[in-house]
Amino acid sequence: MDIKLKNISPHPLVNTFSGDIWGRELILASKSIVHILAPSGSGKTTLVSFIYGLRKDFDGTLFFGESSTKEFDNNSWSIVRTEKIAVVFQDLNLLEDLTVLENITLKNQLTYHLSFLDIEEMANRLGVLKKLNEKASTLSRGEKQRVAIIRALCMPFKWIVLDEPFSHLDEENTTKAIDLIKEVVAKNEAGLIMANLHSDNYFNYELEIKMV
Amino acid sequence: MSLNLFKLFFGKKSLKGLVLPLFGLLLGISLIPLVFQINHDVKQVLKGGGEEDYQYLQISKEVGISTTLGLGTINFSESEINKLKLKSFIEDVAQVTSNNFRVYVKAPQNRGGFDGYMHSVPDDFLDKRPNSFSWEVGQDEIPVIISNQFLTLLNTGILPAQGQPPIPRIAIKQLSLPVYLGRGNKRIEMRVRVVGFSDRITTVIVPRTFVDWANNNFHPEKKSESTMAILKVKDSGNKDLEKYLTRNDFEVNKEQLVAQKGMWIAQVILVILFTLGLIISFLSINSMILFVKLVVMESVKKIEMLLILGYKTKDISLTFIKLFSILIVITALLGLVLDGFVIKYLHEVIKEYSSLELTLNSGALIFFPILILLIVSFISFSVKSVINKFSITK
Repeated sequence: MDIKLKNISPHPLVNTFSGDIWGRELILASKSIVHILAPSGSGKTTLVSFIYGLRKDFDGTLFFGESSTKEFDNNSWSIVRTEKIAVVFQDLNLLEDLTVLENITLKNQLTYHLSFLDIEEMANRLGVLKKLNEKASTLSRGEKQRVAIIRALCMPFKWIVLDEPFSHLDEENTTKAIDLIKEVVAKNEAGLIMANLHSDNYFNYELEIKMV
Repeated sequence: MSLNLFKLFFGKKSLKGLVLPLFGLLLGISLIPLVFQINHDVKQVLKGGGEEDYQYLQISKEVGISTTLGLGTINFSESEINKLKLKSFIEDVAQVTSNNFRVYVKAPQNRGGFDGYMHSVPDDFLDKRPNSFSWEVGQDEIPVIISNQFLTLLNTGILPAQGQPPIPRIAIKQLSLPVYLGRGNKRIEMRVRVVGFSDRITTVIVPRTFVDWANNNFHPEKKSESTMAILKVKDSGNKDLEKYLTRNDFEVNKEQLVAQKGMWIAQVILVILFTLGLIISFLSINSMILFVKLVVMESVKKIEMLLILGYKTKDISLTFIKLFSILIVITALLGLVLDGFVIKYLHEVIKEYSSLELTLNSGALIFFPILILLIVSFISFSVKSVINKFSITK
């Protein structure tokens, strides 16, 4: 599934933007690994919100394959969020009064994509196995980021969108998370969009896009 | 491994807020079928246990000086019966045929006897017609239906006055008493056995075939007389009927007319109770919907998060709908059990006083699940309209 951005411009930025995305035509080919370089405030999270259907306050058209998202109703977006596009949000979006396992299960039970053993193995690899039955509110920011990554991997996605996913991880945990994401992306034969503030070598990017 | 969304919304939340609305609903929905049943019972009692929509009035002619002096008669003539049949407020009329021969019943254990009488009415005017209530020429035993009032009188007045113990209903049916019919050389001995009890007719009823045979046998030259008639009416409280009976000096059991007025009053009270039941149910349902709105308001972040993860508003609505459906069905079943106890008690009390075997109102039993379905549908619709307002797309 290609993602095509045709002259997209967010309403607050109409005619005041620069860079490779806003107001331009861009195709993110299926299964490609894309790096979006975006300084703070340049609209990185806004773009993620458009792709995930959280905002529709933009001009232009966004296509998933041949389908314009303008035609999508709530049920279509629900299918996108359940089966097509996984996101690790910058603000993580965990439910604080649920346990780590409950947070992950809440996503996994929509498709039952992973078994409990799969979830345990992922948690083990990212060092949060012992935290599974603890409330999300008791976790550090870094631990929450790792939980959010596992939760995003609990679906049969065609694209995974990562919005500054390693900002609070040390080098060792970042490497572990990257390895896990690479494995799952390869297994799902999916594409990856990494949105970050600066250049990095986390993934073998095929396309680099600057937002400013 | 799965996480019930119920836990997400109601995990540690107390459902205490639902106790009063559910109690109200229990009260409201118990009241509604109960009102239907009591209305059905009142009608059955007034009709003497019959299922049909008619009442029966037993009338006779008022005995005045003229009748005593032999200038008038207390017998109903054919033309009088025909006139009655023509009245719009009377559905049908039955002549009660009397015996024109002496009836002497011998008491058991040689304790003397007493003069009696026998009447007959068309079978379709009987409230209960036992299978054994038939007679053919040559049959030695005459089946008899007596009124419940007579049985009460016997057990509470006649027998105690003679120092005798009361006779239970079943025991009376076992007795086959000798009876002497006619006088002199025409006198014959037969037997009588009580085969049933009537709430509608306050006399001693024997099969029409027997009275016709006996009247003809003892006095073939004498026409059968009729001192009583039974009116089949739709509304025994009809003013025109009451005026007509008074104007023609017909006596009627006033209790039957008063009972109809009592039924009107009972029906007004039942309508008030029915309305009250509906209002209580509506207020309870409204409280439940307010409870849903409160939980939804407290769970805005959770609902938004679920939608972000890919849940549909339908999945979230279902969590609330399932909870309320279960609670409402349990409440309804409790209400039904409660109604069952109340109805059973009422029927036992009525049976004790009138021997009537009251039936259940099938209409109320059909109406009840429909009512529950309507309540569940209304709550489901309200929950959906509250949850469907949520959208995470800005």
